[in-house]
Parts: sequence; structure tokens; C-alpha cells
Amino acid sequence: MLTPHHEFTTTRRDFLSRAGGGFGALALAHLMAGQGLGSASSDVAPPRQRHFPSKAKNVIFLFMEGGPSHLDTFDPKPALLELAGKPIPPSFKPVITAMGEFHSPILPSKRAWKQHGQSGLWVSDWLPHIAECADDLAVIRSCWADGINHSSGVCQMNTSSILAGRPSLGAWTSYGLGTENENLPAFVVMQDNPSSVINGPRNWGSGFMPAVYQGTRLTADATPIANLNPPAGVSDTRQRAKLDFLNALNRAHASTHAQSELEARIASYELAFRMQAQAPEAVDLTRETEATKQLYGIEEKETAEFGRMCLLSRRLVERGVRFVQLYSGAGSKWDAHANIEDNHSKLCRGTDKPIAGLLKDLKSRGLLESTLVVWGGEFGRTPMSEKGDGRDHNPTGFTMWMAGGGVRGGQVIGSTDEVGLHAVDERMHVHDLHATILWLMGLDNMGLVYNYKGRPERPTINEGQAYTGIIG
Amino acid sequence: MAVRQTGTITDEDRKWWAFQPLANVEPPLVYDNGWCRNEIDRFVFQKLADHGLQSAPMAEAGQLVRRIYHTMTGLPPTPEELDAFQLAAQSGQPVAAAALCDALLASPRYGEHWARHWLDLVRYAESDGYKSDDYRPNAWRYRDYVIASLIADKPYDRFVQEQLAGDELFPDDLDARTATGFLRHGIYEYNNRDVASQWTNMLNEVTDVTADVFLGLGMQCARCHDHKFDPILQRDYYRLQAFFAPLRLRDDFKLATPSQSADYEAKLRTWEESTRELRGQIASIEEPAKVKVADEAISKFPQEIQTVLRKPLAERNPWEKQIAELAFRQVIYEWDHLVNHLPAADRERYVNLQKQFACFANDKPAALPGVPCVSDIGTTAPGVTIPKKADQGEIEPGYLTVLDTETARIEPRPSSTGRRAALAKWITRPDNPLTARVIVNRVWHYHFGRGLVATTSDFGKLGGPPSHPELLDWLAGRFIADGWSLKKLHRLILTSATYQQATPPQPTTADSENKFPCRPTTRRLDAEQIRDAILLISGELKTEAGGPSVDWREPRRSVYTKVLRNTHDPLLEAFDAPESFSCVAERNVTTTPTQSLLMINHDWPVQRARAFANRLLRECLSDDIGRIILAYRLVFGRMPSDAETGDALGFLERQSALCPPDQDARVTALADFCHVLLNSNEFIYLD
Repeated sequence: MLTPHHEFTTTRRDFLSRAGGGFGALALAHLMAGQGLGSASSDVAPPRQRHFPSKAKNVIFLFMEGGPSHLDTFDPKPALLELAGKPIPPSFKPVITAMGEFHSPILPSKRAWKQHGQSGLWVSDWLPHIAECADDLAVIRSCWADGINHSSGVCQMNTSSILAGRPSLGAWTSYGLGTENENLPAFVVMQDNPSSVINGPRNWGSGFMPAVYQGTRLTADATPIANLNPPAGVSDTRQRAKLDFLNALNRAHASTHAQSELEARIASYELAFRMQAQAPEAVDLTRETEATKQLYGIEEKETAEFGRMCLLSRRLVERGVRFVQLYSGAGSKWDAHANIEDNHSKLCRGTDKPIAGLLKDLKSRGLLESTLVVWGGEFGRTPMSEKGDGRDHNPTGFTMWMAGGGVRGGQVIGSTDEVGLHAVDERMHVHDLHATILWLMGLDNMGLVYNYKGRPERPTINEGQAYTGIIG
Repeated sequence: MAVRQTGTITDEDRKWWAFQPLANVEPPLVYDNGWCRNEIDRFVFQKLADHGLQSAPMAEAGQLVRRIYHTMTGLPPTPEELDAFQLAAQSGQPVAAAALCDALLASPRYGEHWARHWLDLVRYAESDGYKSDDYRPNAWRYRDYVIASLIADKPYDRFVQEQLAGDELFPDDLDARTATGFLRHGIYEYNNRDVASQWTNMLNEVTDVTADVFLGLGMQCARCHDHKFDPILQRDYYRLQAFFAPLRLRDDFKLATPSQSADYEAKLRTWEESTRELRGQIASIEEPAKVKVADEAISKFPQEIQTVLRKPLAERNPWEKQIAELAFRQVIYEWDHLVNHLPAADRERYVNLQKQFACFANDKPAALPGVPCVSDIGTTAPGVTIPKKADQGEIEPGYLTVLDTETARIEPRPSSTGRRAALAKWITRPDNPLTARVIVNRVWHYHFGRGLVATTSDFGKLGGPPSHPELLDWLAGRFIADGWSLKKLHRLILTSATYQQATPPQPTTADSENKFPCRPTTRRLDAEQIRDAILLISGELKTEAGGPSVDWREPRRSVYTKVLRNTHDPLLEAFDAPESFSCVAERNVTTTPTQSLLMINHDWPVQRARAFANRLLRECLSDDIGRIILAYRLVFGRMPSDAETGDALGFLERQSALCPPDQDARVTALADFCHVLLNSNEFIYLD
């Protein structure tokens, strides 16, 4: 394993020639660079190793974009049946909702609920396959966030802040831990449809940190990474000849300049060429067995897309990619302001089997211990109805779950009030959730520091506490 | 470093270098064998001597001319410009460099390039940045204002005053209104029902960026608590914010003289008269719908916002006026989409009426140009308190306590509080210890790749101390004495021996960070420089100036392309162009495989290389050697060596053989050659 945090006593030039360049090496070249690189480089002071011993090495973050309803999936509320059609009782503290639905009548859940597994975890009939993995899930019912709209909510669930400009959790993780695969990005993002995820690529950006830590979009086609392949009509031989000529020019130039960046840039072209060979292999699903494909639902139309993404995640994690983020419903598709029955049953069906397949596959390969899987959206949905049969945004109380990576499965953490509006016990703000994810990865949310403009910046903005009970 | 005790300012705090008045320093007398050309050099030479270091030799004419063109205009020199300089340098390089510097300072290209530095600082963008990332169609006027101000060498103090308080200080100057767009570049969420929080965030954002840009102090820490290391009290944060508390966001202001406005009004009245009946019919459908839509939109807000919105204007206090205006934008948004809300019975008739009405659109006088700008909400400011500490009373506007413990003296204006005018005046006082030091240091940073204070937006204790404190003070003093002229400052720097040194092949171990010699280092070009240079070299660059922004695929200078917060030009993004969310004083410089993949495989560089090849074929009909020479001169600003020419010829021959049969082998091979040159380090890096 080669990470940016090995002790290096030699020069960067030695290192780069030894390692042959790579995502980690280039990041390192940046970290180690002194003069000529702009002062940003001297601000970088990453930890050299994990702050704590940890089981989790990788994260797969399943982002249900638009806000899935906790009230219809993991947080049953019988009280909603009694209150159906009535306004919310005055005993509940008012909230600002996106569409101003606080006084609208309560919408009961139409789901059938059952307890599952040894642990007896409640899961609704929308997620029968995930229910089979109940004993692996730690369901956190007491999540809360600050953003009432998608933009600020998605921004916060990715960066800890509702305001743009900060690095995403994946960027912090790759900054903190580096990469284990020199030929693939440390942080990879995939989405289930071509619509733009709210806020676009800045959700997986590096904010004020250098761009080496940002997420890279990956697609499961012939060009999995943007610009990976030579332009149309340029043969491999011709491309190789161009790169060789470029290399000769750059070497001659570097021989008259003692600047490590120049070496790094030479290496980056070599890496680009190698990636062209290796990235397609990483995303090549033809190498998987029929049984595996079936497990993920790739053979069925409804689950094919997300199934492919889940299977790809496993392949990437196997190859050392540190942080994988999958968007289900890219472009706020989970946003069921009206007709939640149609909206959620379709999206649940599309993701249920793939996610369960991922958990089962990781487990059978012994990868679940080292892979933390996180499920959730930017917020949940209100007990109050909207447009009669939909639900408004609910950032004050919602559910996320984690599995693998040392998490003790089959447990419920925290609770919401009787109607599922406010988180009440063991309240977990997004900052706490991020702190917990980092902690599971062996990183201290207060110890991971990047100095920017004279401020020691931390991933959870100096707030948040890891919920360590999640492993016990 | 010791964490400060909170709540107090000590004598020790007041002794921090950045809070001291500018020292009245004389350049030292040095025994330099004639190395020094101006005062800058005497300071630099002295420091070198103190540390037993030596200056580098002077740059060759070729290296120097490329450096001067790039740093002053953001573009490389053309072969003709290279020749002209090299000829002039034969009779004395220093004189030739000074003349070139003057020529370039007079060029609009200078304003276009240096404006980009300023736009980084002020987090300039042309979109809202939230979910729908709405375009701001008139934001570009601020960009043109900055370019024009730099070209005109507007004194920096005036430049600052216009941006903070143009409406109060220069009410009749339309450019000064555009300048206040500085206060409008923050993000905005068009559908946020939590209006009060959004307004708080907007005021925080304006407070942060003001401290960053003009004072070189990161004050964000003090939003929640006294700064842990610097003497910046939480109270100081809100004292600064109080200057902005009465802000009113204006999108109704027109950039027109009184006579232009009168003329427009007259024409509009005539037009309205001619369309009275039709407009009346449309209004009869629209008006009831508007009332209903407004009511629906208002009912979606939290109760306290609804109360404010339903209150008569006269009964609203200043804060309620601000909140109501901000909230009402959401009502206007619905009105702009009124057709969706019309009763089905009216819809057809309405659409027909609109069709008829459209026939009169051409007769309507052209709207006067608008610009996002600010004024105050009135002559009374809303109260400011520290969050969760309202018991400490209202916070009056004031400056950093470490510099001035008093409340600011404010002169009320006819229709505004005068608060921002007072702040602008204080920031631009010649005895403000921060302002001139900060801007002079920024200019130094952009020329040398490192400021005399390396942390150019942090002059506090977490930043670095100045490497040459006397030089910094002397430059700042000279800058003020020169009438806050940026052009004179550039000239001083460019004509120094310090600037004109060669970049040495090896950094000396004694000073690997290049702190003391102050010499140019080999640096990667900024994203815009790379893009613009490629377009210039390929012969495609259109040099037309100003106007509405264009798509990044247009061959205009990058400063004229759209700056959208959620969607970036792929090339600019890959090469670390700023995200435009907060002040960027020093860009990141990264080397990533994403860049290499983009440069070698993306269609944009490929197409530019082809255009470049066609240019070579057009301009150099004779032979490959001639084309290779021209390409080297265009891309690297120098002649190729014989060996390089030989290598290039070999490459052309090999690539021709690899060319697919359906393409012209000569063009394809030459385009490959051009593409490689545009990917090379020698092109992307500047000595």
C-alpha cells in the first residue's frame, strides 16, 4: 500500500521516479512542494496516519437525493394513523418548511411494517431486500440538518455547511488518508441518471483544498472517466508517439529547471496513459458471474442501473478506491411533494435489491468489515401532507443507516418524536454523522486540519462528535 | 502559539506589526557594484547581503520579454513583439524593459489580465450558486467596471470607496453605482423560505469578504467568538457588520443620466398610450391572479415573515423592510410565471392577448441598462446585536478595537445612513496601517508568485511575518505618495533589477523557499493565461473588449466568458480557477491527471491545435522547417535549436506515416506537433 503519509526522507524527484507517479504521488508532490507552488502548498499539514485504529478502510455513501421519507421506510409512527387528516397538535414545536406545509393535515404511512432479523429491526415493505440485511444495519433515527431546501441540504450532507465553498467529506477523507490505488482516483462519484445532482460537481469538490482531493465522476461506459480516451480517429500508436515526443520535450525542459512540479506533470501524462488501460478494467462488469449480477438485480430493468453502480462500487473498493458516492435519483428525484406512493415505490424498488446485493456481496467476500456503507438523503419528509398525498422536506428529524466498517448491526440509534417531526433522543446533527463516519475511518474530526487563510479548518467546522456507540 | 485571553485588547496586541503605522523608511545605502536600479533593489540587496546570499544574473532578453508580457497582459508576446524587444534591448535592456512596461500599461490587455486578479478577490460570479444557479444577466458590468478602472489607473483609494459606498460618496457617478456590485456577488437562494437566516448569511458574507479583501484579515472566526490568536473581538465582527446592516439590494437602478431617463420616460408614455387598451385587457386577467398568487406565495413563509409581509409599508421597521423586500422576490418570481397560475378559462384568451401584445414589442423603447447594486434601506439602520448576546446591547458601527476603540463617526446622507461611506473613508485613510500594505503586497504576490507577506489575505498571527518589512512599508508609503497609482507601482517593480533577474536553474539550498532574494521563480500559468495563450497562438483570439459574457467555447479572452458557480469551463476548472464562493487571494496550483487527460484528449485543445497547424500552413507556405521555427516562436517565445528542429522534423515524418488515409497527412502531423507543444511544460510554465 502506498499512501501520501509514508515517511519520505528522499526528494520528490526520487519518489516520483520510484513510484512512477499516480494519484497519490501527485497529491504528495503537491503536499511536499515548497517554493514556486504558491503558498497553498505550505498550508497542507495532513496527518501521517490514522488518528485511531479502525476497521473501515473505504466508504460507500448511498445518497438518496431529494430526501427519502423516514416515515415510510425505517421509522414507523403508529400515531400518524390516529392523527390522519388532522392538523399537527399544537404541542409540536413549529418548523419552517420549504413549501410552508406546517399546518397541512397529517398523512399516515400506507406501508406494512415488520420486524426483521435476529435484532427485530423495523423495516417497511418498500425495502424487502434490505430488510434481509437488518442485522447488519445501524439505523440512526435521530438525524437532523440545517438546510430546508435541497441545495443547502445536499451541500451540508456533503460538506457539513449549508453554504457552498467547503471541501466535501470524500475530499476530507482522501486528504486525511490518501489513496491505495495509484492508478484510480481516491474519491469516485456515480449517479443513476444524467440529470445534474443539485449544486452540480461542487458537491464532491475540494472547496478551498487543492483539486487533487476532489471526487471524480465515473460512468460505466467506454469512457468511464472524462477525457480518458484519445480523441476520435487518433490511434493508440499515434497517441503514444505524441506522448513520447511530449515526454522528450518535457525532460529536456526539466533538465534546466529544478522544479518538482515539472516532474509531477511529466508523471501525470504517464499516469493518464496507464489509466486509459486500467480504468476500463475496473468498470468492466463482464468479468462478474451471472450469480453476482443477479444478486444486484442487473438483469432486471428496474434495478439494472443502480445495480450496476453498486456492483461497480464493490469493484472500486476492491481496487483501493477510498470513497465512493452513489446518487440515486440524481436531480432531486426522491423529492415527493406529491404522490409519494408512486414516487417512493418506484425509487425504493430501483435501489432495494441493488443495495441489499451490495451488502450481501461485500459480506460474503469479507469486505464488509473494511467497508462502511452509509445510506440516506439530505433530509427526510414531514408527517404533514403536501398536495394531499405528498410530504414536504423535513430536516429536523430523519433517518440514515450505516453498515459494515466495524458498525454493530441490528441496532436502532436515537428516535424522533411521536409523529417523526423532530429528532429527540440521541440527536445526531450532520456534523455528528460526519464525525462518526470519519471516526469509523480512523480520523478525528477535530484532529484533521487544513490551514486556509490563517484559519485551521476542520471537516465538521469545529462542531460535531462521533457517536462511538455505533460499534459497541 | 499562545491562545489569547478573550474579551480584551492588550498592549502586546497593539504592537503587532500589521497594526503599526507605516514606518518612514529610507532605502539602505548598499555597496552593490551597480546592481541596484531602483529603491526596491537596495532593500533586496541589503537582505541578501545580511543572509550571505547573492542575486541571480539578469534574465536574457527572451526570458524577460515573455515574463513581462505574461505578467502584465496575461498573453505571450507575438513573434513581432519578440523581435521588437530584442532589437530594442540591444541598445540597453533596462531602457527597453521600461519602455515595454509603459507600452503594456497603456494597453487594454493589462486591464483585462489584472482585473481577473481582482475578480478572484471579490468572489465575482455571474450566477446565484444555489439549486437553479440562476444567471445574473447584468453582473458583467461590474467586470467591465474593474477592467476600465485599472486601464484608467483609477486611484486605489477611490476604487475602494466606489465599491463599498459608491452610492453614498459619488451619487451622480454611474460607474460608482456599478462598483457597489462588489456587495452583490454573494450567493443567493431564490426559494429559501427562511428569509431571516438567508439575510443574516448575506450580511455575514459581505462582512467576511470586506475584511478579507481590503484589510487582509480573516475575521470569520470572530463571528462566533473572539479570535483565538489575533486581537479581533467578536464585538469587532459585528461593529464591522453594522456598517452593512442597512443594506438594500437594488436591481431597479438604471445606468442612465437624468436626461436619458427623461427621454426614456417620455417615449415609454407614448408607447403606453398606444397600447392602453390591450394592456388594460391583459391587466384585467393578471391583476386578480396576481393577488391570489401573492397570497399563496406569502402563506408559504413562516408566520413571522407573513406578518411582516402583510404589514403596511409605513409600519415596517428598517429590518422588516429588508426582510419584506427579500421575501417579496419570491412573490415576484411567481408573478414572472403567472401563466401557470391563471384559471383555465382565462388562459387561452390571455395567451392570445399576449400574442397581439407582442406585435407592439418592437415599438417599445429599449429598456435602460440595469445593474445589480446597493443603497441603504433608509436613513435609519436596523439594530445589530451579537447573536445570543442581545443583553450586551446594540452594536454601533466601529472599526477594529485594536486600532480604534471609539464608535465610528457617521455623517448621515439625504437618503441613506452614511455608514458605508464612513467605512470606505476609514479604510482608505492614508494612515490606515493595513490597506496600502495589503494591496501593495498583493501586487508583489502576483508578480513574484509570493508576497512579501506570503499569506496575502492574512496579516494576523497565523499568517507569516513580512520577509522584508522595511521594503513593504516603503512600497506602501510610496504607493500612497504616488496617488495610490497601481500603474506606478507596477512600473517600479518591473523596472527593478530584482524583477529582471533570471530564474535560476537550481534554488539555492540556503534559501529554498526563496524568501530573501525576492526573485522570480518558474511558475505555472494561471488557468486563464493558458486558455488565452492557446487562442492567441492558434490565431483565433478575438480581442474585442467588454460587453455581456459569452460561452467558454467562444474565442474571447477568459475574463469575458461566463462565470457560473455550478458549471465551469472544463479547462479553467482543471487548472484551478477559483470557485467564486469566497475571496481567493492565492490560487491553488495543482498537478493532476485530470489536467493531462483534458489537455491531451478533450476536443477543445485538439481543435485549437488544428487551427494552430492551419495558421502555420497559411503563414508559412515554404517548408516544415519554417513552420517549426514559427511554432517555437509562438509557443515558447524562442527559436528552436538545430537539434530541436531535427527532432520536430522526425516527429512530423513519423506522424505522417501514422495518419489515417482519409486525412491530409501533412495537416494531421502538424496538428499533432502543435498539440504536443501546447501540452508542454515550457509552454505552461513561465520563467
